[in-house]
Amino acid sequence: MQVLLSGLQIGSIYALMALGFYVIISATGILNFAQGEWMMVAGVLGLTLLGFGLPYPVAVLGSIAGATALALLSELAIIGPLQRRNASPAITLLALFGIMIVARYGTGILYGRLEEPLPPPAGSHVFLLGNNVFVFAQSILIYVSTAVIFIGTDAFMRHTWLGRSLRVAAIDPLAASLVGVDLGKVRLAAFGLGGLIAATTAWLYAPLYAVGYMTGAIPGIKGFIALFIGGLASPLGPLVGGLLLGLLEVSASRYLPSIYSEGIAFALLMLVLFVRPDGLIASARPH
Amino acid sequence: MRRLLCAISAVFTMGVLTAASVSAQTNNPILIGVHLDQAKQASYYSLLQKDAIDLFVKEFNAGGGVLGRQVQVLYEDDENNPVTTVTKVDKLASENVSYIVSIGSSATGLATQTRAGELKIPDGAPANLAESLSSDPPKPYYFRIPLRGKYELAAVAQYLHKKFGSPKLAVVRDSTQTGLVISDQWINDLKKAGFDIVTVEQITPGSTEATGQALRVKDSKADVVIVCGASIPDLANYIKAHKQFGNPAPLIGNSVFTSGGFLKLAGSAAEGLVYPDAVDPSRPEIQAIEAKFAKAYGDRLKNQAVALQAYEYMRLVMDAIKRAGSDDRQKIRDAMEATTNWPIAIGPPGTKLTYSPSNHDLFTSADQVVLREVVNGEFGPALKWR
Repeated sequence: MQVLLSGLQIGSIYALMALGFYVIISATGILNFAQGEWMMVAGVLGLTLLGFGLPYPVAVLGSIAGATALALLSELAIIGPLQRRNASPAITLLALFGIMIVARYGTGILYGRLEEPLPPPAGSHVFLLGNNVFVFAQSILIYVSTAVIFIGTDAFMRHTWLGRSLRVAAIDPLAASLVGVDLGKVRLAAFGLGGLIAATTAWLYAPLYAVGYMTGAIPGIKGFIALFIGGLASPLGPLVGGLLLGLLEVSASRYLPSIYSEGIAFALLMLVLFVRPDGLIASARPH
Repeated sequence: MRRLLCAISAVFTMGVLTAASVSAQTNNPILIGVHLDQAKQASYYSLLQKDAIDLFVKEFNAGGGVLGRQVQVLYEDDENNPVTTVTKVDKLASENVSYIVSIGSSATGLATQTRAGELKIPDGAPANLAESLSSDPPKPYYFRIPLRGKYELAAVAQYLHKKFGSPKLAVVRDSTQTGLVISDQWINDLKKAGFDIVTVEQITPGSTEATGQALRVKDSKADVVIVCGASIPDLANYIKAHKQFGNPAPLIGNSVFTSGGFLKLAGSAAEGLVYPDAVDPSRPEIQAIEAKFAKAYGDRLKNQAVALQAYEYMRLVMDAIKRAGSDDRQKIRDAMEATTNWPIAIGPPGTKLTYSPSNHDLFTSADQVVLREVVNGEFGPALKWR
């Protein structure tokens, strides 16, 4: 039971990171290398705002707004202009890699290298559910927030004009532009939404780990792996990929010598790519 | 007569120029080169040491400097890359530094040791832990004061035998590259010391929890759990899980826990953790330096052994320059090697540093290692266990 709760906890984080990747890649075809950095920036901003003595809700909202604004800025200042000049995918990837490096090490220089805890939004309460079974208030917040964010994103994609534009642009960009979809606005919206999801995830993840300039690196990689395990067919792909990855990691560390759990993510990714190259959800819901 | 006047004028001019040159040289600051990791993986430790060095130099210059000259530090970013470090050592050499201090990672420290040795520049590190930096006989231009891995381990092994007899051990480590290197050495040396290691568990970097590892360690019924590695957030997560699952086995860590950040991350779960350290906080000398740090930087350098070591290392280098009576590299090297019974704040009370042609290390036995315990949410005093 504890393995299940812990697996769902870290799996939810992976799923949310994967969702941020999904929103951007499905609408624009761009793999946003900097996704983990928006999460890191939100955490560092939050800690900084709290350090200035601002009320907790203001720090939360301010940090999420700040990191989302940076995501939008990176699209407006770098990715958008490159796309308008028909830059190759390799150049765009390189630019995003550059944004990631600047965000990561720039934060390190400005903020310092100390890794500090972020006070948890849900407090530090622990609920005992039985012998050796407990759940943190922060974990409950993670489960609930993950459900809300996934349902909200799915509803946004299905029931709003902008969301539908994102989906149409994902299926056929040329046809989308012919029917009046502004691909530039779609790209901007995708980056904004991806940044917003990553920034929100910071307040779920960092209180259980730490905030520092490297905080976004591992969740970013794991989110990327989760996305390709689950597949790009719908938001269900990142959710399934993230939860499966989290559950397998924690199960492996419980039932196998934990030195083997290290490679679980990559082994699973290779297995899925071999058996279902489009991800686990792809065949159930064709693109 | 005209020729004589010309000759006198020439001699006078040369004399004035020579005097001006000598005066300019003696008024120039003494240059110390420091390479550090400005923004990458080792930057956390680098920047703490840089703060300590900056404070020391500021105080030292305010007190008149050395040999009637001020001291100036030239910093170079080694980018945590040994290849880059070599180019930075060459650059510092061309700028005529008298000494090079390594405050980056052990890997870059090793690169400096080799290159500076080739260039015959005295150098050393206040806090690089890697055992490979020490050799027998020592590298002629390299001088160290950090805690050494093998003595840290030997002290922990002695403590385990004394306190628990022959306990069954579990080892928990993080799987960062440095964490694996450190913990592999611990595992090998603990086995050599005769301990039975019943399980080795590792934490994936970035994990929010360590449920599986904590339950496996509890199942192993280890008497003592060794927590060693390099990634404090990951090890802190294990320590929290260890306490949450009610495992009564005591925790013993490596010197990575000397960082002040650990106490914030682990919270009350850190209570009771025993770990080796290079400094004994009860020493008045340490308290005096800590007070200076607090005045200059607030809490930033609190409980940071690496900063204390950097401060003391600079004090040692300045003393060697004073004893050398010159900023000449060879004379400073010789003065460093001639250091005898020099009171230093690192190590247990009464520690005195003696270098010799066959030893360029401060730590030469496990008896010099300080063991401390987390008590009431703070890094506690040195344990009296020997």
